[in-house]
Amino acid sequence: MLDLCIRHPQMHTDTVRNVSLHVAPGEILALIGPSGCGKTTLLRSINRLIAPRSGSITIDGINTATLDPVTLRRSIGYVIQSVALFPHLTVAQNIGVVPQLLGWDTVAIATRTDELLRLVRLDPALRDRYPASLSGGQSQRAGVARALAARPHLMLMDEPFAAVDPLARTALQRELFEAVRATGTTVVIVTHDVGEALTIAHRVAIMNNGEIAMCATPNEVLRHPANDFVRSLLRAGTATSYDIVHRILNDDDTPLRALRESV
Amino acid sequence: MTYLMEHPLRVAALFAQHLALVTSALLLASIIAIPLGIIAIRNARMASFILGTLTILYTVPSLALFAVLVRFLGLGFLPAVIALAAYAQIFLARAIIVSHDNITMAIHETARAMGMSERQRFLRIEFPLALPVFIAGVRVAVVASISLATLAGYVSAGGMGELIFSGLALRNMQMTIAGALPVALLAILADVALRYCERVAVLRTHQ
Repeated sequence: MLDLCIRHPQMHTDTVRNVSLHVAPGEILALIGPSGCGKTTLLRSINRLIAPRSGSITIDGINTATLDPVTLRRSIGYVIQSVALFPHLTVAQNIGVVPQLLGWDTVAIATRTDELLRLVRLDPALRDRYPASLSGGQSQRAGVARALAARPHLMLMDEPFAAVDPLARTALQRELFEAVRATGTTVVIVTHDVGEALTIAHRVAIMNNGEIAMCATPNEVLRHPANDFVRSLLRAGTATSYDIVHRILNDDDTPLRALRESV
Repeated sequence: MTYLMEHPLRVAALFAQHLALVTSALLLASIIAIPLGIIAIRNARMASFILGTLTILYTVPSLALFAVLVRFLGLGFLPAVIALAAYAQIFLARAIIVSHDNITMAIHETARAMGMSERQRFLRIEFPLALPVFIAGVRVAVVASISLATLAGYVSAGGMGELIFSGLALRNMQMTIAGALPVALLAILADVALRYCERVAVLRTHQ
C-alpha cells in the first residue's frame, strides 16, 4: 500500500504553486486542467524527473528528496502518451526492463511477463514481436504492463490514451483501469479529457494556473463545482459526454461506488 | 595496368602509405569529434555553435587547407594528416549529433523515468538506437578521407596521390591509372562494407 502526500512543491519555473494533495493507498487520482496549468510538471515532480525547489513530496511518510532518484523511479510505474516502448526490444523485453534493472532472475521475469500479458489482455503470441508491428491499443496495453512489471505501489500516467483512436479508447480505458484497480496500485493520471477523468478516477483534481481549483470525487465535482473555472471546464469537457455525466449523476457504474463498497 | 605490373612493390608501398594516412586521420578525427559530439548532445546551445563552426570549416576548399597547413607545418605526413582529420571530424561530430537527435524525447524520458542510470541509458537505449545513423556518418567520413588523401601527394606526404599527380605531370596515363584505380576500389569497398554494417544496425533496431 502506498500513501502519497504532496505539500506545496515549488518549481523553478513557477508552473506549480500552492498545491497540496493527499492520495490514499489504492486511489486513482486524475489531474485535469488546460494546457500549461502545471499538471504534467506536478506529475513529473513525483518521480523526480523535475526536482521541486521547495515543499515536500512524501511517499509512505518518506520525503522523496532524501531517496536516490534511480531507486525511487524503479519503484514507480510510468506511462506516457506516446507509450515510448523501446523499439529495439521485443514486447517481453520491454516489459522486463524494470525487473531486470532490479536484478530479478530470468524465470521470475518470464513468469511475471505471462501474468502481465493476461492482466492487460494482450495476446501471448505478441511476446516476441517488436513495437513497430503493434497497433496503438496493443502498444498502450504493453506500456501499462511494462509500468506494472515490478509491482509498483504507485503508477504515474501522462495522457496515456491520447494517442489511441477515440472508438477504441473507451473500451481500452475501462479494461486497463479494471486491471489496474485489481492490482491495488495507487495511480496519479494526467489528462485533458474530462470524460476520461470522471470515468476512471476516484477523485479528480482540477488545476488552473499552477493551483488546484477543486479536488473532489467525480460526483461532487459535477454536483457542486467549486467556482466558475471548474464549471466552464466541465461544460467544455463534457459537452460530448452526456452519457458519462448521466451515469455518474445516477451514481451508477462509477469508481466512486466501487470505492465505497470496498471500504 | 602496365605500370602496376612493372612496379607492384612501389604501388603497394604507396597504397600502404595511403592507408596509414587515412587511418591516422580518422583516429585523430575521432579524438576531436567524440568530445565535441558529447558536448553538443548535452547542451543544445553548444550544439548549434559547434555545428555552425563545423559547417564553416567544411566550406574551406581542401586544397587551400593543405596549402595553408604546409605554410605552417612544412611538407610531409603531419600537415596531410591534420588536413584530412579536420574534414573527417566534421562528418564524425555531425554523425554523433544527428544520430542522437534521431531518438525521441519520449524514449529518453521513459528510460530515465524507469530508473535507468545514465550509463544504462547510454548502453541499453541510446547507443543501439543511435548506431545506424552514426554508422552512416562514419561511412561518409571514411569514404571522403580515402579520396581526399590523394591530395597528400601534393604535399609530399606520399600515398596514391603521388602516382596520380606524377602521372599527370609526366603525361604517363598508366601511372595515373595505377594510382587512381586502387583508391577508387578501396573507396567503393569501404562504402559497401559500411553500408552493410548500417543495414545490420538498422535491422537490429526494428524501427
